[in-house]
Amino acid sequence: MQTYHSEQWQEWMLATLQGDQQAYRLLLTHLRRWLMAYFGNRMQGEAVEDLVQETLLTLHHKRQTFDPQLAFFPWIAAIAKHRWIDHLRKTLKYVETELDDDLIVDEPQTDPHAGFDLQVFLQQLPRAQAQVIELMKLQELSVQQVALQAGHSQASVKVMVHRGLKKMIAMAQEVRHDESFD
Amino acid sequence: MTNLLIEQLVAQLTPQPVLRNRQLWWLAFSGLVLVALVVWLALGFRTDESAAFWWKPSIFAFAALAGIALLVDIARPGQRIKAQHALPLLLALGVFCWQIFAQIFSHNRQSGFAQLHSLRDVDALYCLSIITLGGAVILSALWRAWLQKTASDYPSCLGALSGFSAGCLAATAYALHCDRDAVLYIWVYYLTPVWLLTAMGAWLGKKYLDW
Repeated sequence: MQTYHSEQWQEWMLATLQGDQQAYRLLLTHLRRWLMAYFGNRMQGEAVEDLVQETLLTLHHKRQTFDPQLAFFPWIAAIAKHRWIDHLRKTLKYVETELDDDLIVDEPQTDPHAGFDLQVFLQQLPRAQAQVIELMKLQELSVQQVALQAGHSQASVKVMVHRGLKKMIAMAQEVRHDESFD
Repeated sequence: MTNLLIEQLVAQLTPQPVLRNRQLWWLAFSGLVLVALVVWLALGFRTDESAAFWWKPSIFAFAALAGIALLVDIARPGQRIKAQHALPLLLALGVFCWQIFAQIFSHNRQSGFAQLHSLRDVDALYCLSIITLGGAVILSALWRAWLQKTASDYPSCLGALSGFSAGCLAATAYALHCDRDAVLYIWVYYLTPVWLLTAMGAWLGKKYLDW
């Protein structure tokens, strides 16, 4: 099912800028559904609802930056992406501080942040996908064992791992790319 | 919770004019005219009919043009810099390089010693202070009227470009008065306040333009 309707949203946004409350309500309600799907593909838990709300608030406060000459969808997608990266950055910083406080080993043999960041990225994935990656890549089980344990076919385990890793690489690149500009 | 938030946002909705690029260009032009007017009233424009009356302000005018065009590029979410908008910056660099060549390597050259000697000019204080102050005034006007309404993916970069543009506009206006044309003098006493404003803009952008 298509969750976005570019042209309709564009019309509602133009009406919103004129102060049309009915169009604004329709826009926010439809956007909520799309944003739930957008963030739901990237993370899980309460963070999804929080990010949807933050994105709607940002839209409200920054609506004057929408250029009526340009398409609405790339604009709202950029806002959603910005909120997501912001969330990732805050989460990563928080985790790193915790790690420093609880560090027991004086001289770790590997970079302690690497494993921890990996956990943070895993948390952003849908639960089933995170589980198969954890079993296969961190606990080093075979595809057959993971399929048995997680209750998926071997083929779908391979697909889930492949897609999950791709998403994690994209997340890491986006965080790095964003930080390099700040 | 989200439904409640939506209802609150709908209730708060008021008509809002969109951010216009034209407004920024007008502000920048007004800032340039204002600083030029102050320089003219306080110090007067140079009257020696030198070619420098044209080439010196043009360096900074081209740079300011590029700065503002690039600033407009990244002022909204999801927007990227367009490389062609940096072309005026190359023109500014071209004029400056041409002057380096003209002053140091050409027939009527100013020797390296003369270039160094130009740095010992007490009037340089006027350059430094007027460009810094004029640039700061333009920057604060741009900031209040336009920049704080933006939502850039690169707030530090946006702030730096605004500081750079404001500094270049003030340098353009001051260059209409100043008759010190040595390239080393321009490099040191014109570019120092411009870089200062750029750094200040970057810092302010990181701190206040993040959203």
